Amino acid sequence: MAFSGGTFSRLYDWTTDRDNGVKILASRMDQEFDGMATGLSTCILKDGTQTCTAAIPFAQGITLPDNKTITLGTNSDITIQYDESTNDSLEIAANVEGAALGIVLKADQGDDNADQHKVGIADGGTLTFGSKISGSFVTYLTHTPNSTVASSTTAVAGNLTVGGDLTLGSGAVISEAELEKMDGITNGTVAANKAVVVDANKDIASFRNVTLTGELDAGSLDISGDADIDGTLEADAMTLNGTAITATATLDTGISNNNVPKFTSGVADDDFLRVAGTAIEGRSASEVLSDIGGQASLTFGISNTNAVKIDSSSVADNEYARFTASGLESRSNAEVLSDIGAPPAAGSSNIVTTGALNSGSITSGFGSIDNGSSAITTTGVITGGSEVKTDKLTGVTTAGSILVTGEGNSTTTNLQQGLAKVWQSTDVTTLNDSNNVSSVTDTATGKLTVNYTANMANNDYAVTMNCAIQSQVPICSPQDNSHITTSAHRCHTLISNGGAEADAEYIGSQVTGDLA
Amino acid sequence: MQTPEFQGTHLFDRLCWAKENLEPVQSDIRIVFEDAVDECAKILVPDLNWVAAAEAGGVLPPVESYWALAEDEAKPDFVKHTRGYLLHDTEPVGPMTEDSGPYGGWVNYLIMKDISPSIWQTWDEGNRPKMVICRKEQLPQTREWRNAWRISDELNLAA
Repeated sequence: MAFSGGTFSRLYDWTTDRDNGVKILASRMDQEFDGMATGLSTCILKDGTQTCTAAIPFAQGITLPDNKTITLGTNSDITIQYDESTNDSLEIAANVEGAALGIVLKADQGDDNADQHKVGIADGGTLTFGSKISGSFVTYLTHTPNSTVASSTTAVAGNLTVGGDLTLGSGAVISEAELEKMDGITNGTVAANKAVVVDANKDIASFRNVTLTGELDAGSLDISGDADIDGTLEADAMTLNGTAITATATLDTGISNNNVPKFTSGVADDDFLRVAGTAIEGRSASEVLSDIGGQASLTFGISNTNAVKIDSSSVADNEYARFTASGLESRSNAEVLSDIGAPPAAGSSNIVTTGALNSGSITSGFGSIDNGSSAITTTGVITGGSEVKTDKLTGVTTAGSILVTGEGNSTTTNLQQGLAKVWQSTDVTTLNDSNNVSSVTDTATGKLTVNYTANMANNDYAVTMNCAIQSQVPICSPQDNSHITTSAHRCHTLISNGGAEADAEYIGSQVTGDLA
Repeated sequence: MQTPEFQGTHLFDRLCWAKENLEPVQSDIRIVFEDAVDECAKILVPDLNWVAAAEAGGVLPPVESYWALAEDEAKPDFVKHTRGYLLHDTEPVGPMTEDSGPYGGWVNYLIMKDISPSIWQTWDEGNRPKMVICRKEQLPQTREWRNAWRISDELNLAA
């Protein structure tokens, strides 16, 4: 094929054929001219006699001269041209009489409804902008032209946001702040910095202060608080607390019930008031003093004609008063008893005092004496009843020495010296009981050492001991002085004097003397 | 019963309090020791009231106080104790059991108090032990030949 894909290729080269001795043949000529015919048959002709059968790609663009149109649609519905002669503009026009022009703008190949907007001009000039919603274009902006621009209208079906001010008419400019005064208004209620709009009853409430420079003309006036009227109050009729006030009303003056008091002449500032007949007169301070027979000032003290005042910060209810140099002070019952040196009430079971009982006596039948932790000291004899209870007895002259009257009722013996400082009871090698013993040592047959817990002061103390050996008359002794130390003593048991040493069934010993 | 604060109280008064307020503890612990070659073994028996005081704590003085008084008494010119306050004014020893607490328990305390240091300081340094702690039932049941008692190997092993 000589013509293919827009390229015409010669099948033969006549010069080459000549050089090669190839003859001119009808078949070769037909082939060559068939190719040329095919090429010419597929060309676009400038006289418009050919119809293109496919989309034509133009590598270098398409150029149309002024006022020449591109016509779209089978019925030549739309024309596109550059109108040089009339509007000097790109012109897209409906090319059918009475038809509207619609232009659809698509993004994203119009995949979604929201990708598409439609600009339309109806026959008559109404301009609309529509957005595709649920498959149909819905107009959101409509501009209706008029013979005068002032009469044209632009309608917005949705919301309108204005970034700057809004200018209306020939010069009315409304700013955002001014529009906010009308935003959020509650009809019938005054709000700060908001426009006032009455409610359905034409009522409005909650004004704070209202200043009028003109006249307040109202059907009625109801004031809950005070009324301050600088000018004249003109009323056709008035009532006071329900009682009508008339021009002929008179006041009942005097000093009787419900009368209005009337002053005499001469009442001055700071005067006191006194009834004078049926009127009220003024009295100065000095006149009042004279009237009541009073003194201008009181003289306090405890002298004749003095006024007496309290001279203590601790006066209490139910206490007694006693003069001081300047006035009166308060004294409790106990203080009064002390002040007047009165004895305690007879029959009292307790004496409570912070002072001393320097005389008198506590006689038979007196109640209990409880002096707390204080000491009771006497150089006399304390005679008790059936027993004396105490946790501790201590000597007065020497703490560790107390004398006890002896059996002859006249001699005395020392209590501490007579007490056992160590004692123990042992069965063979088992301690039955003891005091001040830490252990016993079974030293050998017939030898038992008693060890003390609290040492004796020296080894000059006395040890008393006894023992039991079955069917024998035993002897028990420390054996010798070396077995008496400040920390122990030995119990040496023999069957009899001079007899053999033997373990005792029982050994008891005790120590009297001085502890370390 | 809680032991009162006894430091400064005479030891004899503490012992009287202990005897009045503590339940006696009869221990079967025995300490057998030999302190002389030609003498038989000696047996130390703890006192029941003393053991109660030792286990209660706060009654007994430190054993060092006894050592100090023993040193005083050992002096040739000793007449009487002048440092008895060591028993009364030093801080009392806390609670002890047989083998725990201060001094390793009251058994050790009693040994150091009532047995010569020459015994308990070197009890196992000789050819055989000089001291054994045992139970009462480990001692011979008969006192025949008491003067010939010695620390036997059996007693030592049992201890």
